[in-house]
Amino acid sequence: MILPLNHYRGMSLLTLLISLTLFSGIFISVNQWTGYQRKTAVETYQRYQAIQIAENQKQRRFLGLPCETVVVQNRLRFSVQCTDEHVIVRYPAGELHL
Amino acid sequence: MIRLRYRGMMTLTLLVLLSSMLLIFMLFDDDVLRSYSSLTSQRQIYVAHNIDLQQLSRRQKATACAEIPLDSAATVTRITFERPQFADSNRHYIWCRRQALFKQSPKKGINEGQFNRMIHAESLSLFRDKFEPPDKLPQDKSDHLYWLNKTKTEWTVEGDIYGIIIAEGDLHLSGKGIIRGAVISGGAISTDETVSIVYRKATVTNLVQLYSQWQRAEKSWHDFTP
Repeated sequence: MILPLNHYRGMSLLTLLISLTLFSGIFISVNQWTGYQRKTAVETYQRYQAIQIAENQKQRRFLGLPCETVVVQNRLRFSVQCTDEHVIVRYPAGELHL
Repeated sequence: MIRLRYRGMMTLTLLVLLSSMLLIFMLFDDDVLRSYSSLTSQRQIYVAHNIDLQQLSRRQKATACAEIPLDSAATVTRITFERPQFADSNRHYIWCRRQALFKQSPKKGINEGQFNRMIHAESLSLFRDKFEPPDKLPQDKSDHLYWLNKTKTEWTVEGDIYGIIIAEGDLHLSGKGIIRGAVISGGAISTDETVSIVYRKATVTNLVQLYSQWQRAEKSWHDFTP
């Protein structure tokens, strides 16, 4: 009777711990990587928006209109600063010189 | 003991499978992100170049057409605005149209009554101040264009004259000499026996090209290559 019981006992405590460690290691690294990817995606998207805003400002000046100072797009605040040559757009994830 | 170890190996295999699937998925995701990031960078470069060229073409479009040399037979020319340092060959263009005094180049020496067929009356005002005064005769062999208006129907020739003579109405040529080039009139042409008219192709071609100017074609600016 002892042998069959041994046979169906499941994994040992040591194996469980090793598995848990490995799993949490994988989980943490994947989680961090996903976080990094999400951050990169947000940055890329905001940069794209900033480029569009900067281009708009340049075109406004080309047409003789004044620069805007603040542009709000999907609840993000882009602050615009125009100099003679350049347009600087500051957004939550960084800033853009054009 | 062997079976127990084997069960641990199962969990391990599952974990390895899970993590490799995740890895593949994440690497794919990373690749997509990178491509979007580079698209954004390319967009930024394009926008910067485009704005630069836009300002360049606005500054130069007023004078660009006037700088084209006249010594060609083309009637339209495309002007390209570009910067040599732009590696993406981003360019802007405008078209220049040639406004000429002559509708067509005279093909023979005497063109009696051909005034309306040969001359663009609407572009006359552009060239009127370039015409030679008809009473002064040059001594050199360069080509000249002489314009005689409706009231002046008589003209005295002296020596060789290189050029085109255009009379709005009738024309009588007196004096002594040879006209090398062409004569165009709105009315009848008569000459004294001492005056002869010889067609000279080089003079005609030169003057037809000279009495034209390049003008910017309306709404012809474009920033793409059709």
